[in-house]
Amino acid sequence: MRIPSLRRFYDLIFVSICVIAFILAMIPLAWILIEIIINGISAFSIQLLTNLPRPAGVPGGGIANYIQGTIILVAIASLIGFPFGLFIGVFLSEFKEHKLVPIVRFFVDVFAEFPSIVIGIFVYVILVRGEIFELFGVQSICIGAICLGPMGFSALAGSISLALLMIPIVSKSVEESLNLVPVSIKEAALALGMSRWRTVFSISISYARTGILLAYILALSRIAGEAAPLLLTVLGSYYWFSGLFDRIGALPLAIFTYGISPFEDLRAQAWVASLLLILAILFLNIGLKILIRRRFAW
Amino acid sequence: MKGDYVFLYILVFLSLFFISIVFLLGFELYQGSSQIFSIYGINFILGSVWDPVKNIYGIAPIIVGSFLTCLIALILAVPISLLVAYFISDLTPAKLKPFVSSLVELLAAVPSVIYGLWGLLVLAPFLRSNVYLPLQKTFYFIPIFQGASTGYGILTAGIILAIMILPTITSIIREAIELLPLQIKEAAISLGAFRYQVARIIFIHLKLTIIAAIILGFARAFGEAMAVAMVIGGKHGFPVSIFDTGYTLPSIIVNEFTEAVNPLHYDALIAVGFILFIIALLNIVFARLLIYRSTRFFKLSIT
Repeated sequence: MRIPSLRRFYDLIFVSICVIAFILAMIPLAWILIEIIINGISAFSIQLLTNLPRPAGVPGGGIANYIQGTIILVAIASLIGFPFGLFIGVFLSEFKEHKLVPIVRFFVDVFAEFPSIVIGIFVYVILVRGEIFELFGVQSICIGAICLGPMGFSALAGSISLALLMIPIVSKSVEESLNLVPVSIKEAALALGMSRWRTVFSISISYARTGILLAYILALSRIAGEAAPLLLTVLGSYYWFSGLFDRIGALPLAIFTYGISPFEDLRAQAWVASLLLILAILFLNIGLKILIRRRFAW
Repeated sequence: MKGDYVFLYILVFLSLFFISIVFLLGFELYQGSSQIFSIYGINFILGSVWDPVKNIYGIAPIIVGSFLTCLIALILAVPISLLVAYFISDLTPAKLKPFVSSLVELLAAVPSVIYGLWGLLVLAPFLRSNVYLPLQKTFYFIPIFQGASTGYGILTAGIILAIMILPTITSIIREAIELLPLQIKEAAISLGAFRYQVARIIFIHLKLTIIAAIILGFARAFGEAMAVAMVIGGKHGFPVSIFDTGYTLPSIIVNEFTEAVNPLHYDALIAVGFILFIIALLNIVFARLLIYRSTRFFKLSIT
């Protein structure tokens, strides 16, 4: 039987529109990467990686402190956010029968979609201004000799805002990777008389370690480029890291402030900062994924 | 066993702590902006003048700017992401699928501040000389096409937002297509449907998910701060054409926060954040409920 040719023609048109749509979606990606590579490499020099920033027009300025700042912020954020997210992920996946689970999952899903700037404002209000302490009716909270009061713009406040962004990303992907653990292995462990928490740590998490590591890396690459919450909690700095309660520089903030400045040399440095940031993200996203799959795969 | 109870209680405690953070977020944002609401009342939302020096704060033009940019972003992004989602799930060979879908995910991995830098230094000048000026020359008689165009403004922000929300919408729809019971597609193919007809049937079955994806994309665009702040130009007052500069709720926070002139100005920006939070929250909750509903429907129809 002959198929009417009009439908075949429509089909061809539809498929080609799909292909065109995909190409259209890829143009910005390619364009951004090419611009970053061209502009970043042409402005790159080794002193950028070792020197502190200098005012526009003064040669020899660098972006070293921003690199240091981003690493410190992300590291502290991981210390707070990753265990937190991991435990929530464990709760969502291993205790499915618990009646809190659907509620927690809903909150995690909603929190994951919150605009990052809203979280920045939140941390600004409670920690930078210190209104969390007003809530308890005190000026500051003291544990032994360590006193926490309103922090002002500080590295710690910035790290906490990044940690808050990290929690839902980590817990959702940890939940997914724990769901892939075969029930039979868990049942075997439980049948041998292992307690439940030992099963979670020694069997489930150990089995799903690749997925959990990938969850961490995904969250890391997501928060490394966040600028909006940092702008409201850290504000940026032109000097080296000098303490958790001082302001600190960060690569995304440098890209923003240098990008909107009218000076050609600062804009060139913004491109270099973008190059470093995108290389780090690409490395985390692609390089490490392949590496981990090969190293830890079962 | 005792250890298990302790373990479970730790997990429950952490989860409740997390939930209380979300509530605290809403409460503190409200608390931070309560002064503004008590001074200006409804005029804060309906007023059209934003003048920190004279302490007059009205955000109506900013809300209009926000909705306008998001509308442009959705108009550009939704059709393309539907087609791309279908392209990835049905037209790509199985071997290439991981590669192609990770390309789209890479689009989501680019930090928003880099989109902003690219938009500011590359895209806006390019659009101005190659698209906007020719468009204005041809369509000078249409009101929304008139006015000076610098390359920065509502339309450029909308285009950047479209690029940024495309992977969000695409991945939600793609996942839904892959969850769809195979029988639906098989039935269509066995009746002799061509690919465009199969796609139509898939999209009809995924109506709810598509609506949810669009709303989530809208929420994402609505809350996007850095990229928009860098390309929107920053002008107070209602935008008169799509080439006009303006402000969105997040971008005014970014642009004015570092140079706020007095304590009330900070409070006004927090209040802007509160409004943004409420609108985003409504969208996200609605979309989430839709997604839960539609996936439950499919799980039922599979078994």
